[in-house]
Amino acid sequence: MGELQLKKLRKEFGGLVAVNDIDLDIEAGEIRGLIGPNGSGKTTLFNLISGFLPPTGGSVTWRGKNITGQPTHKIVWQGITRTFQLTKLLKDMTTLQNVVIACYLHSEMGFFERIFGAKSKGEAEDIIEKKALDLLKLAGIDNIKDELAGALPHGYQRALNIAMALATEPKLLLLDEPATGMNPVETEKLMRTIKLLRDEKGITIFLVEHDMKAVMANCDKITVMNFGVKIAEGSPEEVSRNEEVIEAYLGR
Amino acid sequence: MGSDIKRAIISLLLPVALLVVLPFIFSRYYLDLSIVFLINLILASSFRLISTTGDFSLAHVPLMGMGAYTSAIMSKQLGLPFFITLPLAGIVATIVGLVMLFPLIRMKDFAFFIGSYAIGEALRLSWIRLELFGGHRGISNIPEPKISIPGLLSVDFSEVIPYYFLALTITLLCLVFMYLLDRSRITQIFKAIHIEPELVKSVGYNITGYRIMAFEVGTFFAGVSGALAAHHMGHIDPHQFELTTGLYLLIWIVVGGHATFWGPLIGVTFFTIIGEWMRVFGAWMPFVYGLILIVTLLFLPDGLESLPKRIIPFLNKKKKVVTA
Repeated sequence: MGELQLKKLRKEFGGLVAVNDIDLDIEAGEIRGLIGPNGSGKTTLFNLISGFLPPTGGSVTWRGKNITGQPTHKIVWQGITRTFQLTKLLKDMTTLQNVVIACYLHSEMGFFERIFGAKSKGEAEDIIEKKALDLLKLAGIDNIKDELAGALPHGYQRALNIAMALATEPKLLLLDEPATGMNPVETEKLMRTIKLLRDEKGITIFLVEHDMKAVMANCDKITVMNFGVKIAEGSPEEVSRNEEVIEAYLGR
Repeated sequence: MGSDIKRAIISLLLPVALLVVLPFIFSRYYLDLSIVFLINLILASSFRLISTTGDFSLAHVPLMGMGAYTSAIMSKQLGLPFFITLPLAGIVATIVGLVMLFPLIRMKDFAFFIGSYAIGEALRLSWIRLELFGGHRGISNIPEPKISIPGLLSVDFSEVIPYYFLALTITLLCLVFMYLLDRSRITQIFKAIHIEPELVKSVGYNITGYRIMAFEVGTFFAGVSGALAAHHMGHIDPHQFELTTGLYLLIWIVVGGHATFWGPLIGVTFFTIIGEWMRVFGAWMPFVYGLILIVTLLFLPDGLESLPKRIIPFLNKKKKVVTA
């Protein structure tokens, strides 16, 4: 039995079935790719797992516990964090401040301590800042910690988003097109980081990506969606030989 | 961080000293005006606190009224002392605010703005209908605060100077609390929710919870300011808390600015002074207010608080031209 299990997961928008009874099993420590044409329901599927949208039907089970329809913040606390297809950042803050905000929740400080700064000047603040720096290092962007996030080149912004997601100490990371807009060198670097997260931190990865070379080279298993339906699943070789997948997505 | 506070204290020394000396120079009329000014500082600052999450609430003035009514009724009918009715005014406003949030928190941006008007207006109209609140005529003869510890001291705040100092003390306490909150990480999160709600949600924050927190803390201070106003004026009625009052509040905040803690304070100060200067305009005052609002929106969209940032580079440029 997998770490994350989707059973007949379904989402309808009016008459449109965006996600049509998807069954999915992801093992702990796996790097799973999710591919498919635009509008095939990949991002909607992420929204359902991460609690951004309530499903119309079916269930999401995480480590044996049913988490279907729970609000996002509760799901994050249980270890599932997602990133976005479009970069979302606090543009007027520095890189470090962005990550600190994401770290901050996972430190223990009460309301009045936060206002009156009982601990804030001391250890607690130092610990948070050190953790944030470590995450920037892990994402390979600690050299730009004091730059405004809004002024960073695209590739750095994407890396920053991943660092923020990591601040929540996830056990499963949902990455929505992490390599969008990156050049091959940046993509290569990103994929190395993702592998590192799995190998050293034991984080399970579920990613949507259009860069086929990156997906084929780095994923253990690939799921293919088309029109809200899962049309194939298997190792990169199996999927790339699948007639239906070639027809719908890969092209001849 | 510590030096930040020190700088704030030093820069505030002069205005606070001025506020302490005022009653000994001012006539009764100006003293009354100063008390209203202090009340408006709390009102505007607490309004801005809520707005940091992006929620601009037109229910703020009715909730201030809720505090005013609470303190008036409790001191008049139950004979409770001011120092109990004052915090109670804040607490009752907070509870009523929580009830309002049931529908309101599901709304955002413009829907929240207009929805808060509807719900605030419903609250205000209930005062006209309900016997307890005295209908259209409201409540008169609200007792003045008194402290008396038998054999030790007895202060009667019915005189304007003692009441002024009472209002000044409470205002400073409220503002210091709101200033500390503004500097804390909590306000950073409030602001982040305004800018990128989905991002903040994705890293595990309960953004609805934070919006409720901002609204409730701000509402508490609105209630407190209402209580101060009720005991100052001695009379309250539903018409004092109409939309017009809320619109003036908005004008203070737009003209003063609301990006920083100081904007609303600047706005209230500015309009208190301008309001006095322009009393000659009489019935044309709203027109003058509107004109100031439009000029500000056109030439200083971030409000008066952004003036130094605008002027300093300009002066520097001029200097360079001269030296060249």
